Amino acid sequence: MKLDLMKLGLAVGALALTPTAAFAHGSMKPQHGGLVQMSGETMVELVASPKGVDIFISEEDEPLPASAYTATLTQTASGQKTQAALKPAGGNKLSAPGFKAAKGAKIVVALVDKSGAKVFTTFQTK
Amino acid sequence: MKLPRILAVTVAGSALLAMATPLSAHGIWFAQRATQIALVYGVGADDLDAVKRLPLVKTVTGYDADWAPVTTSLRAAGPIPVVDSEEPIAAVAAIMDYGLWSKTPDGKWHNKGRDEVPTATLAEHNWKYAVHLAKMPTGPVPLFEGHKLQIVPVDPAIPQMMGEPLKVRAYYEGKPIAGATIMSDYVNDPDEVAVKTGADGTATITLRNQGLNVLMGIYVGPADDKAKVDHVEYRSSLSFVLPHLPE
Repeated sequence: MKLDLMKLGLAVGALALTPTAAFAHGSMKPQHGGLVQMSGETMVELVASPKGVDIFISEEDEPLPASAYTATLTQTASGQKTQAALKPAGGNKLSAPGFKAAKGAKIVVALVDKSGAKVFTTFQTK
Repeated sequence: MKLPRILAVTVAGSALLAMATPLSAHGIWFAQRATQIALVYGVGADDLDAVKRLPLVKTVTGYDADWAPVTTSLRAAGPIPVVDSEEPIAAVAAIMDYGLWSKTPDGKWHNKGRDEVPTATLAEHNWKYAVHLAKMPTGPVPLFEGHKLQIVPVDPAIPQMMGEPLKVRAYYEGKPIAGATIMSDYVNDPDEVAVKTGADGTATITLRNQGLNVLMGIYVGPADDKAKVDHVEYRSSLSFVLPHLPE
């Protein structure tokens, strides 16, 4: 997984909602060989592989229950948008099986909790 | 003889202005609440019930960093309306038609025009606008459709430190307007002695907060329906956040 991600050369893009970069507590070290970005207090790690795209979510180093969220993945590449649902896949993992992360694409993860609060995390592929 | 007359006119004008100040001189602006961008209705620290006023919001529009529209709406999250967008937004704007308000001699305000309140001493139409820069702009901030009054940074490179000056321009019906009031901190100093825009529509304020800054522009324009109101008051916020140091 890690190698595929590196091949893709995914680079973390600016995150969305606030101009203030998130400086929440907790490690920014990837736990699954992916790329890490913070949105508000929520850390999102994105892992791309030939099998699809997974995200892992946590706050202050504590995993968040994936079942408490709905999420979508939107990729913009060459002016075309593709979208997929990220489904809870146990623990703090949500998956979009079969989703192909493209080079030179922007990938936005929209994460919605039970209250309807939504946070975005943006990743940019090189 | 001339001086007393000028004084008399000035005093009368001031009295008129004081009378023209609506009892509930509230505005709308955007601010972060629990990681979400919320629409706030109020003045100073008064964060009033914006959810019940959602029907008065005529438009809410979101934009990405290139000012391309992003599908955006407001949803009530408990007592707070928050912005819901399909994609990340760099800016969001809203228009609220606060309607017709007439003041009777007993000091009461009525949500009606003068045609329905014949004893009114004052009648006005209130429009409220809000523009929030969720990300610092990389190019000029455009004028948004329907925003009859809008406050725009002259230089999109907004200084990032409190205490620095910021020059803004007020636009009324798409053109720079002189004499608009520009408040530099509507949340923390709603009683400030505000500056007025000059002939070119610009005014310079000092950035007050290393955090949320809510500027408020106010302009009183001619009546849109002379049978119902004496004038129209436009109140337009421009808000953005100056970043704090990393934790």
